[in-house]
Amino acid sequence: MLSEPRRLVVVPRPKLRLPRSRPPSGLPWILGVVLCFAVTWALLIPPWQSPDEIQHFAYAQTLVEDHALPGLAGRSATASSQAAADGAVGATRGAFAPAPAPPSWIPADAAAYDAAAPHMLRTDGGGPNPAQPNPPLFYAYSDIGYLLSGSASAFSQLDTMRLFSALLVVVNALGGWLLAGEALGRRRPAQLTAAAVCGLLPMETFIGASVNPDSLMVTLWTLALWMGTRVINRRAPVRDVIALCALTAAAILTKGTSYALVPPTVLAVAIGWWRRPRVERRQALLALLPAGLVLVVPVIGWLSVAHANGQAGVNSFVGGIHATSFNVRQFLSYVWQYYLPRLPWMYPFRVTGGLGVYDTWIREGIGDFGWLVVPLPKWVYMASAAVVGGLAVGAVAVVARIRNRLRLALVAFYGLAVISLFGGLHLYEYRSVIGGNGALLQGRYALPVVGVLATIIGLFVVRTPPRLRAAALGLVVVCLLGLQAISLSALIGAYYL
Amino acid sequence: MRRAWAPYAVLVLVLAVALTVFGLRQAPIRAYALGVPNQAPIVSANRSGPPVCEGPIDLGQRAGAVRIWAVSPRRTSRLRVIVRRASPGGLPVGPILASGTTAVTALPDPYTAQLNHPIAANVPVSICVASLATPIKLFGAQPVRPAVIIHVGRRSVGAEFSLVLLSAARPSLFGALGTVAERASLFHWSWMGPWAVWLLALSLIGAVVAGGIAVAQALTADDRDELP
Repeated sequence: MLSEPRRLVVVPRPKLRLPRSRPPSGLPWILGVVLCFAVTWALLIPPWQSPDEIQHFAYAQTLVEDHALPGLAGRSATASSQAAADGAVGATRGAFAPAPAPPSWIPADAAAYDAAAPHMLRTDGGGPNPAQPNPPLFYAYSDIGYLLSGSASAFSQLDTMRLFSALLVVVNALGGWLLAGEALGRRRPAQLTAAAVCGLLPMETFIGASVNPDSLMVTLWTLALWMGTRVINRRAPVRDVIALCALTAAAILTKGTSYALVPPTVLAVAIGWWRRPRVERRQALLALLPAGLVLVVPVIGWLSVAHANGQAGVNSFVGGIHATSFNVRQFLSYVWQYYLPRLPWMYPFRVTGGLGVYDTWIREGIGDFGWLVVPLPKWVYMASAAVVGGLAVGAVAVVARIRNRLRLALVAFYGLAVISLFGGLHLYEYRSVIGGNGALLQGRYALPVVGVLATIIGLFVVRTPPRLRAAALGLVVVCLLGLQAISLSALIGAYYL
Repeated sequence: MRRAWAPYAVLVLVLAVALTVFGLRQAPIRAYALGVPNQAPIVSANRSGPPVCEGPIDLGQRAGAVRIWAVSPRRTSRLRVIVRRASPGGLPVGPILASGTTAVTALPDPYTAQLNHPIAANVPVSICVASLATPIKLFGAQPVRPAVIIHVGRRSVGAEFSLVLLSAARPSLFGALGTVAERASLFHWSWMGPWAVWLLALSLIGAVVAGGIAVAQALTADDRDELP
């Protein structure tokens, strides 16, 4: 007997569903905004009209054309192709005098350079260069743009390199978003605020879109602050500690200033490790120690290479004929007078016309473009000083009321990052001044901790009452857009009108 | 979503009004810049001696004022600027095309002399400077354009003084954007033209809209997260 044919039951095959990973609300849009401004800056800043861009371009060119670090004996700092381009556009001669000597507006000058460029040497530079103590990481990154430009024209190379720098501004904005998310919880208004501040502060867009190691350094610091926050929050997972050490190492390999990132990195790892249950600590320590190699080995490697090349590997001074020795009391007096009015018993020790905190950190930190020759209107600086002062007072008030140990740990981490950076910079400037080399701090040197500023502003936005939050967030973003508009107008007025 | 947009839209409107007012302000722009930085005093203009002349200058557009960088070391003085047609060698020849005066103080600064007639475009001219009182030092530097020569009388000087000619017209910032686009598009990729600068300007307008979307999305997400 034949059995009844079995009925085939077709079971619908379940559709393979991958988890949809949608970008967080608002993030792609704000990154798009930052990208638009960064690219605009990259193309509107006249060639080499950003601090030390002439030297940084020459360094990057030497790395790719000569496969060597700059400082080659018997060579000039810049190759013939760059020197000719510089002469054609008038970059060096106009660097400090854009009013009488703006970049050339004569099409014939540009055409003459373009015609001559293919015949110009790019391999005869690489001589002693003020940027040569810098480690090579940023220049190696920038060289991707140099190589991709596929052109003999130094202007094409510079443009493409700047576009690569502009991408770093976008990554910095992303870093701000991530940092605020980790520090304040995934509150989108706070994250959007932080991303906007990190990506739209005019000085950051200006320096970030230039060929300048600060562009990469600032981004790496923001990412390191985010990763340090993760390490503290999540009790030092090995993967995050490795990432934090790698970011710190990369920052050091970008610019010597980033040695200041080591103390907060160590603190973050120590706090994260300490927050683990007591029984885990011993085992965790054994797992975390090798992660330190990620930080130590590349730095020692760079210092060895620099030493073999007869270079210091970090910026150093040669004392002038009026050099004096280090004096702790004098140093403290200098720092005091940088931030506060001089007390009657103090000897005058001022390196700027007014208070350094205003002249350098506020003025130049908000925006002073070109070779610090294109300032913003004075009222912008005054308003910015009032805002920064208000934020500082507000931040102190908030911190004073924190009782949660984890939050206090985060405050200690950010505080140490700020103190370490500013302390190192002041030490550096003080040594320069007593060595007879003069003042050297510039506002852009404060940008590595822009993530902390951005997080503070983000905190205030989410602490506003819900009915006012839309206005607070809108105000921050519109103020940044307004600052961008004023800054770009200043740039256009100085160089093109 | 609409509520989240509103404050941002209002603030953008305020910003747009402020920028429009700023952008409609009219001011002369640089019609010509020799490109010589004001590094140091390089030549002195005296009352008794021959005028200091620099040329030939080829203007791309009409100019209505001359700006130089100068100082009157002893006390405030007056400077006369005379524009004459130039020979190919830079010597001032022919009739006076325009002239103007300005005070010069003991402060090394840029000083602008308004001309009584605009200088026509595409006419090679020589800019002559003479003091009407105490000697005036003109700032400049090494020559940038070999064709342009300073003459004191018939004697040439191996330097150039900083010189800018301002346009006769007073365009608004918006009105000058075409000039900006032309100037800013030089010395870039060979394929880049003024259109690229206009494109950047458009992208910035788009960025303002994108900023609004970002704000609205972030606020909406925040409201959603705060729901019990």
